[in-house]
Amino acid sequence: MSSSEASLIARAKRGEVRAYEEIVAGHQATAFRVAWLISGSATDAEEAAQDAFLKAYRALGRFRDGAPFRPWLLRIVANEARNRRVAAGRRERLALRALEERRRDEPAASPEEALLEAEGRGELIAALGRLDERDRLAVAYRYFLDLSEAEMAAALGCRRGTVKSRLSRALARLRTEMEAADD
Amino acid sequence: MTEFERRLGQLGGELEYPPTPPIAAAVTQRLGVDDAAGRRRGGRAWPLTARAALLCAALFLLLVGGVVAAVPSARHAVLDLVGLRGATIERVPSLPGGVGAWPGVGATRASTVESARRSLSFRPLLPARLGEPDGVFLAADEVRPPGGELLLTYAPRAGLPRSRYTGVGLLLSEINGNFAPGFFGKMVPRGVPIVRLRVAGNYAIWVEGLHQFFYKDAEIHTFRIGRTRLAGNTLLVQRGAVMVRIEGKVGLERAKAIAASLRPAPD
Repeated sequence: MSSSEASLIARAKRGEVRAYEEIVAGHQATAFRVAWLISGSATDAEEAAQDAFLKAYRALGRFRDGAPFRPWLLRIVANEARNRRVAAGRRERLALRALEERRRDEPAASPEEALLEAEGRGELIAALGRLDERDRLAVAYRYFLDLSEAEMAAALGCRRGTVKSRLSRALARLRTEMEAADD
Repeated sequence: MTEFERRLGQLGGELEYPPTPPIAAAVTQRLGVDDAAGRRRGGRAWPLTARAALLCAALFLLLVGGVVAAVPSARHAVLDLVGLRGATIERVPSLPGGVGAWPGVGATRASTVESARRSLSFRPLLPARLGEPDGVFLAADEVRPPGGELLLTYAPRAGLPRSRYTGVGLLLSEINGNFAPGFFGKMVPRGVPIVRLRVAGNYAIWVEGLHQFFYKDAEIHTFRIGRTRLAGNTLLVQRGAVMVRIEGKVGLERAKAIAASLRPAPD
């Protein structure tokens, strides 16, 4: 956590709503995306993220000074999104899509190569969408949000030693899903 | 890192997420509303910052100043303030006088929802099982909020008796709450219930009884008291960015059923 965020948290703890607004602005995209990956609904994700930020504000007094804020927040976000998904009775499968626009710094060597690459990416995305929420979240935290093991442990609410095995299982299931799609 | 993990890392930057909504502004707004509610209940209020206090004071002065300037008899105070994105509700001791029911005020006719859609920044929501609306309107320029406002009317029928305030069986108004925060205003006198609830997981407020409804200018936040009119039972529901106002001579359960049946208009 940067010193500026620590300072904002200290001010928010004293009741400065403006400081908290800055904290929210810095984390709103990540919180919304995590909530969306769990709930599968943009509307639910927005409300889950809002509710999570409100709960986090009320719980700031219990937040330990110097601890990383993002994983602590993401745990609250994930709970809120999970509750909404369960309340709505939605199935877990998530309709993920990749951006149409190809990264400009990596042009494909040929149309055939581009097609193969797009197919592979599509399979990976589809398999990711079929994972259960626990596995998908572990993959997203590690590879999409680049959380460290310690941060993942805090966000997932498990011991640091458990993170590796959990991630390993999630990757194995992801591979299995892709292989099953190939059959 | 394996090739598989490298591909996953790359994929993270290529996923198409829905656009992130303005959550920070909404959270700040809700913190202010809940803060006021906490003090009303006598519970442990959150710390009120100088900025929040100034905002409340400014809002109070705007409301009282605007009302008093336009309606001399309305020398009242705001007793309470609750709201959703796109709507603000004030509890007042009594309603200002000289205000009538003016159905259709500030609306211009559009032919269909599809044609109205071109003037709106949001996808309209339509109630299922009520059929096509009998009237489709857009807010006239002088009261048009940023992002536009859609008004749908449904003729009186069984289960939807004619409202003396709107002249129709059901009136639905929709705005983009992100673009026009606090645009729908309500003055609710003592004795008329204001109930906060959830409808299919969405935040909602139910006002049961006679109150006054007015538009606010969303850009400068002054009150268009000239557009104030009497209103009957109303359910306000926040569906994502869209604030829906459901007004009719119906009870809460019927209004909730209508709100729960709202579906995005076909593309």
